[in-house]
Amino acid sequence: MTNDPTTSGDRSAPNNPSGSDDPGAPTIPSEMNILGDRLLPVPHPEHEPYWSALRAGELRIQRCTACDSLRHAPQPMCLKCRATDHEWALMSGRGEVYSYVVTHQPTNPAFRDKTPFATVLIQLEEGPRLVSNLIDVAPDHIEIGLPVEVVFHPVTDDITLPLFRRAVS
Amino acid sequence: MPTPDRVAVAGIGETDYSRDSGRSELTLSLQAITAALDDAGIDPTEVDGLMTWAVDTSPEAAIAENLGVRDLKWFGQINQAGNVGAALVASASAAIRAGLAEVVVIYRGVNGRSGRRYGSGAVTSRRGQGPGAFTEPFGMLTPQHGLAMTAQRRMHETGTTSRQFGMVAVTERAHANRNPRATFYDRPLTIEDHQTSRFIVEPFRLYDCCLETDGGGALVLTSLERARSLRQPPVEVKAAAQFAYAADREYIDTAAKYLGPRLWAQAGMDPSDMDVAQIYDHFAPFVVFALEDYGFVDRGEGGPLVESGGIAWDGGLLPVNTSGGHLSEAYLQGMNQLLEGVRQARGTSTAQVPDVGASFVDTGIGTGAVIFGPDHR
Repeated sequence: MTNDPTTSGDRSAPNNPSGSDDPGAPTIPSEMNILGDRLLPVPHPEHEPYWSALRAGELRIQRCTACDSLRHAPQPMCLKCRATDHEWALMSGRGEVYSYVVTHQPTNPAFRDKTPFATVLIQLEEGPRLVSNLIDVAPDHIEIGLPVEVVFHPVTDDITLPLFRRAVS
Repeated sequence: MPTPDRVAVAGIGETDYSRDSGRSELTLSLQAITAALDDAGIDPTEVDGLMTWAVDTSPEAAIAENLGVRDLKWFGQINQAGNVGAALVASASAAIRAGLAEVVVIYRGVNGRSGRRYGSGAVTSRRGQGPGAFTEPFGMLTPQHGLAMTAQRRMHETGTTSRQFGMVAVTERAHANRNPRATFYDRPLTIEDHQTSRFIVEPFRLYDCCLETDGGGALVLTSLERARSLRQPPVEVKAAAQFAYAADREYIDTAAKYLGPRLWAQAGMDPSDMDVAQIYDHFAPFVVFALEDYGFVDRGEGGPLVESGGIAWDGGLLPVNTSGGHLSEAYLQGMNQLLEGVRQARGTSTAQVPDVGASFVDTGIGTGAVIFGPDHR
């Protein structure tokens, strides 16, 4: 078994990197689905429209058809009115950095060679907040309030992740 | 037979704290439980209730079997993560008052350093599934990541500084330096040490983060009336409550904002009545946020309070984490804070605050809290 995330490209056989060769390293969670430099999401069928929109280059967020409230991450019921009917509303993809953290000590092989790296919480201009990464801003240049826009990052045939970059306009 | 209306902690027990216990988690729990029962003067066969954290690995049946319990009438675990200690006290107290059990032991045994480490995500990761599908691919892998995200935004909104967080760590270390059980008993810490320590998940520096510990702890609860006939002076559970969710919660709010008013109302007290506090310091910044959201000080004033010595055991406005807490004593997920809260009410802490009437214990920045007090007949 290997811990090298770059060699675990077969997504039909999720990597199980529990056998660390570094005795000082934290125990690595097993059954992580890792491909290249990404820990892959395991989409739930209820959320398939979210993932298929990303594959098509669109960021769509759950919107209640009874009261028009947006909600993310997806939920079975509207958090405002409890309605279950919903649609997947197209977002502009624009927003700003609401908060961020910088991981210096990796805890997972998918991120072992990437530290320090930043995880950002994006406030979309339509309201919902989304966890993501910035592709073009170094961790020490990230600021709360930085205007950003979405970019689509295909990882596999099935999975495209929404990442963000500094807003061009 | 009438059911009791008042509940007390009759005994406390703990193991040594280490980085490699060489014992199973079951062994650690049993050691702590038997110590607590011995402290109380209750025979292990008399235990009829057992409760623990849902993340604990020792089932109540295994504990009962080893103790030789005659009739286990009440058991249960509370879900979430490390943050349920006070909720267990609330639940156990309710069971005793309802007559469902007479002697309830709350226990926790964990090889948090040599076994499954929280900081790795080994316990808490969702493996990219469920809500984890929307966070983990971007590096949000542990509770620390979510808490650091909240802390960064809260620093932005309130002006609290890393140096102020550092003074939480420095103050708690000074308390640990008085406590021979503490992991960092013989190692001092300065604010410069904190400010030059490496980032783990920024804005959290190394000394903002709790320890990883192997160890165990236990509390024995029974009716106040029965506790009065036992070996130790009883410590009454004056109030105990838990909180999980509020629809109007803002991003930077901690649960303490919601639990606080309910707890103070239950106790018939307010924050200024608390003589000493143990606060769940998984990360030092959240001690500051808890002080603010429980209402000990206004939002934005927690940092200045800490910086001016306000949480030190000798002369602080509100001494906090007098055993050294999770940062410098041990990380037993609120258990060591419950034990210290009891000690303060008994008058037996190594950093004892004089004349404690109300000993406050938070075990999750508002997910649960207890007020202990001495038995004033």
